Amino acid sequence: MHLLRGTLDGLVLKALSTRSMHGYEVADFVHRATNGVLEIEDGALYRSLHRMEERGWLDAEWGSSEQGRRAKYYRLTAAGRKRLRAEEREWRRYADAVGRVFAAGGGGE
Amino acid sequence: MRWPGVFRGAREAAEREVRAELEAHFSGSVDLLVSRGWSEEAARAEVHRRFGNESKYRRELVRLARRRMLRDRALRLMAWVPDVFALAWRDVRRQPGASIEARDLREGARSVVVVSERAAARLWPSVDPLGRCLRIGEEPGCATVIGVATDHAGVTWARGALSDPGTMQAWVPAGHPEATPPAALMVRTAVPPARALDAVRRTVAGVPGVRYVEAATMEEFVDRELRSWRTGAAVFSTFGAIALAVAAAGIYGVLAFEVAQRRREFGVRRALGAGRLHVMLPVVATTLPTVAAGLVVGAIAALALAGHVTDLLFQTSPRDAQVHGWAAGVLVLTAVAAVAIPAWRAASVDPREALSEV
Repeated sequence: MHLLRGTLDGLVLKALSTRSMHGYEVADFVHRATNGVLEIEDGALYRSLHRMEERGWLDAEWGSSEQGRRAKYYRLTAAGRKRLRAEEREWRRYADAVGRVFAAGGGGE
Repeated sequence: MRWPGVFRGAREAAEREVRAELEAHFSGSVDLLVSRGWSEEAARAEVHRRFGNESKYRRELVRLARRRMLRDRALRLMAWVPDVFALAWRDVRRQPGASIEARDLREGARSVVVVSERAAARLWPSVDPLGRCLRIGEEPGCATVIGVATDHAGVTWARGALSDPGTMQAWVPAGHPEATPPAALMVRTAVPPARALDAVRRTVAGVPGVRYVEAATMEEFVDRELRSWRTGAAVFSTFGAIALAVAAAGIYGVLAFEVAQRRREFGVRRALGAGRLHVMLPVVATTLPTVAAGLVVGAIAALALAGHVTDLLFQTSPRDAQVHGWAAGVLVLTAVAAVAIPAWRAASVDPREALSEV
């Protein structure tokens, strides 16, 4: 299943809301959290990370990973946290609205 | 030794960063899968499959990273002319013994640079920038930081920087190959500046390569910069004054009406021997709750909204106690003036006249 446009940023923000992570940890988190139902290209995920870093929603810092490799750590900023709340609200409204339409009688078989 | 350099080659730096990040991504992801029982070969294939079109994403990532770096790390390099820079030099936190005299700069043959506070904070977050080295462009060796200038000083010296106060700034002596040549000269005069204007204009126009000269006194120059702000301030002050007048007229009108209606009552009271003050005070008191409530609500609103005007203020807190105090004082005085006349009129009712009106 393909991801709806514009929802990737929200997933990435959510992944980073608990702790700071490397890009590949974010990717792994998203793959595991979605149980592989959503097809998300890791490249698009990095694009989202970079875009949000540029907008100031994420802060990035180079550090070394547990395996001693140099890698870039991403962390939510205050603006990012605010953005995450907004995304969650938006998504709930969207899902509610679509859900109501499908729940309404008529149509179908 | 490595020095923070003036930012050039942002593309190479962005490419380097993206390459390092993606390398970390691929090896990190493969490790994760292997730790979950995948064979190394299968993991590698899976990780590349999951990434998608690598060259397309790589291009986009480099573009994003480059844009961010240019914004974060660009250093605006400006040239100073020693005799002119001397004016601003007084406001610069200096390295002891540092001099910007043309003579010292030539003889020492060493490179020097003054950086803005913002540049200093970004380039040397944890150490004192004075005496540090800054590599500028292709210049061999590095330039010694001999001063740190406040950011707002930077703004006044270089008008272009007004548009983006977040830009790091640095100043190097005029003639430095990397610096933007000065577009403006500040000249200190022994005679009143207005009289020296023509001479300055002629002299500068005589310099080879100069095509157009505009000479103005510092006062005119600052005036021009401030005109739109002054106009705005005047307009808002006028609106404020009108609002104040309307409020005063309102208080006066309501109270005057009430006093006129209660003329007989005041007359009777006076006839029964009530002093002027006894009649005036209750009249004044009726307006007290209104005025007090207005002040409290107004003060809360003013303090709550104050943050929004921060950008318009210079070295003044939006919650400056004195300013708010004066505003409240003016409002109270206006209220007192509006109340005083009707109250006085109430107290001046002639008992005989009031009673005979029946």
